Amino acid sequence: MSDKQVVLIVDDTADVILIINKLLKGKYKTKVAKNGEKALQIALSDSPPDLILLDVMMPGMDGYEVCQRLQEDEQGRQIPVVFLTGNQSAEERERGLGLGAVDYISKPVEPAVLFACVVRVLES
Amino acid sequence: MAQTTVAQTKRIKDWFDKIGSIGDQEGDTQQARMEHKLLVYMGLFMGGGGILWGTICFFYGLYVPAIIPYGYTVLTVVNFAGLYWFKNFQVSRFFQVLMSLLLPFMFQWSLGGFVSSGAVMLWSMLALVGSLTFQDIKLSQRWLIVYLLLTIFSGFIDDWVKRYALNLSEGVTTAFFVTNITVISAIVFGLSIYLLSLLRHHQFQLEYLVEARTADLVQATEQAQKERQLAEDANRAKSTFLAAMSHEIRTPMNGVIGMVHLALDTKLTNQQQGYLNNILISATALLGVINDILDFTKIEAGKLRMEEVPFKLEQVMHDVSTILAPKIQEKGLELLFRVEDVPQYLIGDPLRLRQILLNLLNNGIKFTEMGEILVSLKVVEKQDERIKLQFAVRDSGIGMSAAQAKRLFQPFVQADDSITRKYGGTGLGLSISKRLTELMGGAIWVESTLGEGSVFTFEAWFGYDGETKEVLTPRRLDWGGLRALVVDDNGTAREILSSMLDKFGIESRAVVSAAEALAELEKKQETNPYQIVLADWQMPEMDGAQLVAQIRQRQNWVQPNVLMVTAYDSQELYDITKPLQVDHYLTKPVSPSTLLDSLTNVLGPGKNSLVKAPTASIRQVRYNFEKVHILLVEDNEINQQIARSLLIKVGAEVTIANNGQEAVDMVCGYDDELPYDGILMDVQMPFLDGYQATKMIRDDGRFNELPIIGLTAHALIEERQKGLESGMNEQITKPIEPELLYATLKQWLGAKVKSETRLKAAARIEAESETEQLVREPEQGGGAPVDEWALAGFDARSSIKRLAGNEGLYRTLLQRFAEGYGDVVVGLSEAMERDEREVAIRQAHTLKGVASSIGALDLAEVAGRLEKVLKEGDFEAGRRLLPTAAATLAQAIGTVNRFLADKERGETVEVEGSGESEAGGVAEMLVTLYGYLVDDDGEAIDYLAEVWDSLRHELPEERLLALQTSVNDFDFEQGVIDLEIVAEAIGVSLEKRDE
Repeated sequence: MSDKQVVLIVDDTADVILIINKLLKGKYKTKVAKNGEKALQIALSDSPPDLILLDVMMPGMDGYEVCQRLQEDEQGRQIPVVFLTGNQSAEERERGLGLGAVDYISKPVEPAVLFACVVRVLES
Repeated sequence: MAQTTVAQTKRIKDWFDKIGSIGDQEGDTQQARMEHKLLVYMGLFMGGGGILWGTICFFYGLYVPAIIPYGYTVLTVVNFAGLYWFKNFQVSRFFQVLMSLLLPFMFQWSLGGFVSSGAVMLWSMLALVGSLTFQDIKLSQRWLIVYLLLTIFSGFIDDWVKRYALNLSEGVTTAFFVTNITVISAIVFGLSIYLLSLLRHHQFQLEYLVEARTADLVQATEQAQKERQLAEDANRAKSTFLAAMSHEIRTPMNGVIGMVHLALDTKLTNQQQGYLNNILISATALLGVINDILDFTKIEAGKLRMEEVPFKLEQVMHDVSTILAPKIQEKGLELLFRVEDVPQYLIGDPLRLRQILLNLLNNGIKFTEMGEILVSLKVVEKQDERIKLQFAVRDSGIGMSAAQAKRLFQPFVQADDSITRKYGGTGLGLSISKRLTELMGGAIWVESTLGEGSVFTFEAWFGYDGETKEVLTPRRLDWGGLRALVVDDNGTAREILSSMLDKFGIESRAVVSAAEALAELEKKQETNPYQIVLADWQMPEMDGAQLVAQIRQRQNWVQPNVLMVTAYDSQELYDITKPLQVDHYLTKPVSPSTLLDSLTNVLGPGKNSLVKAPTASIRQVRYNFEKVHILLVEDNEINQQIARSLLIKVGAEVTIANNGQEAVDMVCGYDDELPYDGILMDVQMPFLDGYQATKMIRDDGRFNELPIIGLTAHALIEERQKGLESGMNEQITKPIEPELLYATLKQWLGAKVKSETRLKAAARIEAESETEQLVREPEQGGGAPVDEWALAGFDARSSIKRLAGNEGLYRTLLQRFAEGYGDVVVGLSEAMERDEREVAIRQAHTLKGVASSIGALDLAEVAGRLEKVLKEGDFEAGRRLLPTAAATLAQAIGTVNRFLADKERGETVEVEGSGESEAGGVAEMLVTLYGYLVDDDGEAIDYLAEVWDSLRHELPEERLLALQTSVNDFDFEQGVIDLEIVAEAIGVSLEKRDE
């Protein structure tokens, strides 16, 4: 196993994953999940990620629910969550942060912002 | 003095007002206040009168009669005090009126009967009743009755009264009489004044009201006009804005989409190709959204106009099917058309019809995971000159509930919000379709069952010229006794084909698979063999091509004519079936007329045929613009490049004019025969725009037949109309759709070009097996294997041939060229600067030589020209050539560098792969990939891209496609399954290394 930190990218759109994956590759090891269920499965597995980039709007289990489930779990609670969302309203942001997310990044993702955010969260 | 009088009058008036309002309460109506006043004033009047009468009586010593008027006054004051305290108007009025009626009665009794002057007083009470009338007519009627009864009663008792009446002196009687007359006059006068004032008040009120209303109206009208002006301005601004936005957005989109098209034609790595495809899909989707919004806004503004042009229904169906083919294919669906006896030549708006069909079909495709989508078409009503058609689009998708279906046609609404998330879309499509069908005089509706699919049906009116109608089926064809076998795995498709054949008088039988087809053919060999086989290409297990191969192998059979049905034009299919003698290819949707054409082509029309002469089907007429010379008029360089490339790609010769004026000069300047076969004219250009230029060219008089096709970024009908008015034959919108460009040009280019192409196509049909085109086609790109020495602008093949096939040497040459000749033009120009003619000539010569040896034709040509002018001593011309030479050189070196880099990358992978035993290498790759996938590691996608070429080298690509799709889609769970299938197929164990 490499000693790189692991970032889990959760988004139902392949293109978004592709871009973020490209962006983080090299500095971090990435894992990907296309839906909430899969994300939880990875996050609560034996090798949990060090950070989760979590899309809010997903069919089935949405980002909020994933976040909530993570908070209910001893191990899941330890993993910092950064939400990705297309909706920039204050209420949405508030809701996300209220659920225990450490930060919020709005889509379309600004590569520099995302990268800076990931670095900051993982190195603090 | 006058002022004090005025002030006093005012004070008295105020006092009266105050007294008059003692019965008023908060919230009383104006009417109620008026009534209170009337009662109080009447009481004051009567009370005042009472004091006067009492005093007169008292003066004459008549003490008893004096009590009556005094008493009346006192009671009135008491009654008003009651009104003031209790505010009960009804009660107070009752007492007041009652007292007023009893008062004269008492007087009469005390003063000597009705004949006496007291009786006059009684009559004067009429005024009281009269005044009451103003308050309440019903009430006063009742009081009047009471009053009359009292009067009559008092008449009966008159004698008795007289007996006890007081004897009055002459003076008192006179005084009574005078006062009575005075009071009555005063009352009459007062009432008249009151009535008059009331009347005037009303009149005034009316006038005032009328005036106020008029003022209001005037103001409202002004306001409305102002608002209307504002709204109109806003609307105009919106339209202008929309038109501008449409142009502003579409122009750069044109660049994006066009450039991607061009980029996709260059040599790309797999990954780059994928990225570009994604860009293309996104850009096209964006353009779709923009168009939707534009359409919707226009419909909302009532600005959408329907065209009324003749069109062929079949063409619309064919367009729809061509546009949707990639999507249909990607999802593994079937798109079927069931066309009943519907006239083909209609009048209406084919683009809008296409739009509705595309909207509905796109919807269907989006929500259907497997199965088929069926478009049924039938006539519902026929009149003399118009016809109502019904189109039904049935899918086997997820369907929806009745509640969802209800909301579906509203703008921005989809069946469910989650649908937006899962399937995307603006939700405008159906709303637009609804408005469009309404504009076509029809309606649209949906029937759907959750989980079972939906049927979207719409009806629309079309113009229909009874004379040119062409109904296909009733024609008698002499194909009786022929037997056809239909092979298709899709039930609906079989049914459609069979019913069409039936109408042509051909007996048919349908089977579901190639295996069954073979069995059936075998069975009938001896007795009654089939003459025709209609085979679907894409079928599970054994496909159509394999079926034909099987048939052709059985040489002892009676060989049937084979018509291959395919969902899309495919080079691959031609390549595969080339040796198999497929008699004809039919592209879905198969319409009665295309099937008829194909059959006619294959079978001949039969002896009594009324069928038109066989025409080359679309398939044979590939776009071939050789010997076609197009004048491209376009000011924007990028667009120039795109259009030019598209035209050159199909073999056309292209001359460029940079603006309208240039075009006009180039066309009208010709005295001889014009070298151009057609003009592609951008509409928006500086100096002289496309419309003006077209008009000037048409005005010349000589070029009325010259096809001029407009290029516009506006998708508006108004623009189109403008173009047609200016003399353009047709307009196409940017971004340019290559197919549409070719089709439009083909439609309008003169007969000479068309016939030439057609002849070629016909010749090809005859030559059949060895069509030159099929051999040549792969070189032009497409799905054919890429020439590994394909350098853009280079004739690498000839060079290698000249080097006796030594590819290594050629590569070394390329390398040396790229490394050593980068600044040769700079050196050359310096030599010219220093006036060293010999050096310059030598440099140019060397460059020419090297360029020729590596096959860089353009560069060699430029260098040759440079050498020539230098030799001639024309340094001026040489200097002018330098920029071109530098650019060509830079381009050539760029091409070579990219090529070498690609080559190197390819080899590294190969070396890696071949380091171990080959199967072992693949196994290793698959295991590594498997590890990534199981671990949900984002590395998987890059790893697959990295090893893709090696894998493809070792394994058949079809096997890998599913894997590639799921990995690129980050659906790793599916990827694991796909990978397991691949591994199992080649017998590789995927056990994880760490397990």
